[in-house]
Amino acid sequence: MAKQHGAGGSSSFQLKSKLQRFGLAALVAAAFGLMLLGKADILLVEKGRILFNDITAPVLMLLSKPAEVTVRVMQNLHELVSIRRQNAVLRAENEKLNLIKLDTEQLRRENEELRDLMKYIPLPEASSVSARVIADTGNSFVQSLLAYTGYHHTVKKGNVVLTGEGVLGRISSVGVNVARILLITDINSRIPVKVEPMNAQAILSGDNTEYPQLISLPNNVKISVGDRVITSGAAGVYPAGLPIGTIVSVADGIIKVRPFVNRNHLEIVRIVDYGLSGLLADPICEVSR
Amino acid sequence: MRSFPVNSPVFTYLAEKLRFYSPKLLTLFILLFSLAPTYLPGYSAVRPNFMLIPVFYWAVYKPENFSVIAAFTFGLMQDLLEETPLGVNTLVFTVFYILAESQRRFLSNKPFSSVWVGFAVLSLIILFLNWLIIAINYGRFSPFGTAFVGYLILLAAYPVVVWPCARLYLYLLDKNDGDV
Repeated sequence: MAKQHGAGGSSSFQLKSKLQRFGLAALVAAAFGLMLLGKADILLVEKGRILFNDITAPVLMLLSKPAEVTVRVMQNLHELVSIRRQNAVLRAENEKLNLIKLDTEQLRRENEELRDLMKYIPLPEASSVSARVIADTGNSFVQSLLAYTGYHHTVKKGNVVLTGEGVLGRISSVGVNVARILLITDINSRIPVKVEPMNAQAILSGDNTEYPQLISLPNNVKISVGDRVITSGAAGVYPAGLPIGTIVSVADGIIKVRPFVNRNHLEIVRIVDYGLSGLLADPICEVSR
Repeated sequence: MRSFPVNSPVFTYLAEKLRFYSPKLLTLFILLFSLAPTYLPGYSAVRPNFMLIPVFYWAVYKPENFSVIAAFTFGLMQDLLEETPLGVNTLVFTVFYILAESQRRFLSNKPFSSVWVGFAVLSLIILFLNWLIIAINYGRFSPFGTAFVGYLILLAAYPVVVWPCARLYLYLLDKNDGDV
């Protein structure tokens, strides 16, 4: 009887072990299934992703505060140390800007008169909102940020994200109170650009490093370190003339660009709607409120 | 004045449930906290996958409170929070958990340094798997150098991230001994 019980116990143990192995294999298969789902139904995955981001946004906002406070304290200390020098520099800049303001005002008046003469139809005014960066979801495989837009926002997929220094990226998905920013350094980012001063057209291609590459440049163009890169406006994704960065290295046929935007000091970004329709319309991707 | 009913069945039940789910709650906190902006120059390009640490730790020391399904779920949550293709972290965490749990009988009685080395070996394998799957998904290779730098940061951060997990494990151990 004891032997029968022992044999029964052993076979149930073997069965349990087999079921466990089957369960593990099923989970691995489910993970592959999720990958296929991600490729097959991008919109469903995007909706689920942004819904989850909306749910976790309040906690992410709270957890981003300690780092923010630490950085502010460090910045205040730095500023206190260099305040006298900065004061002098700012006074000189202010005087220059006042002079430029006078010239700009005159040019504006001339522009209005000329437009009126030519019956010029202007582009729609760009609208913008400010948003706080609450999560840095970047790593060595993706480069993106989450920004908290609040509940009453007009942010749309494809809107351009700027800082005072230049282009940061564009909105890749929008939720109820968060928006995901795909950075220009992301491996999936491709931006039509121009290299000044020769106005050579090229594509800025992200590669998940800090310095994205310039590709598809015409063969006969000579690029130098320090040349400025701006958006070209091609394909209607980004308007023309927005500052991107400068050429930082040209070696072995690889041209690297240093973005103007310092990603390490991002707290508030500006999300601008230029009214461009370069991307395919994707209304389902925005979660309805 | 009425005293707080700490011995009431409801409170006891809730406390037991909280203890049971505490490894998962701590792991959730680590997941969300790891996404906070750090403002460190160059960090975002090499930010490591800190979630590998609690998944490894619970697989080795407390698999009864943190199963492979939990690892699967946290992988899915990380996929949703980041912009990585769906299923990548899900697969990576599941495989990593299976590997870590398979080494449980070798690692669970070893000193901290040996466990750290064990983590280093397993996470390097997983790093390579992660890099390969991402490359297949995107159709091009991300620089392995930045991923490797992230791996080194992960190893250096292991004692810091594992410390709260270890404190919680000791607390749960004491509580279990106390109940017995």
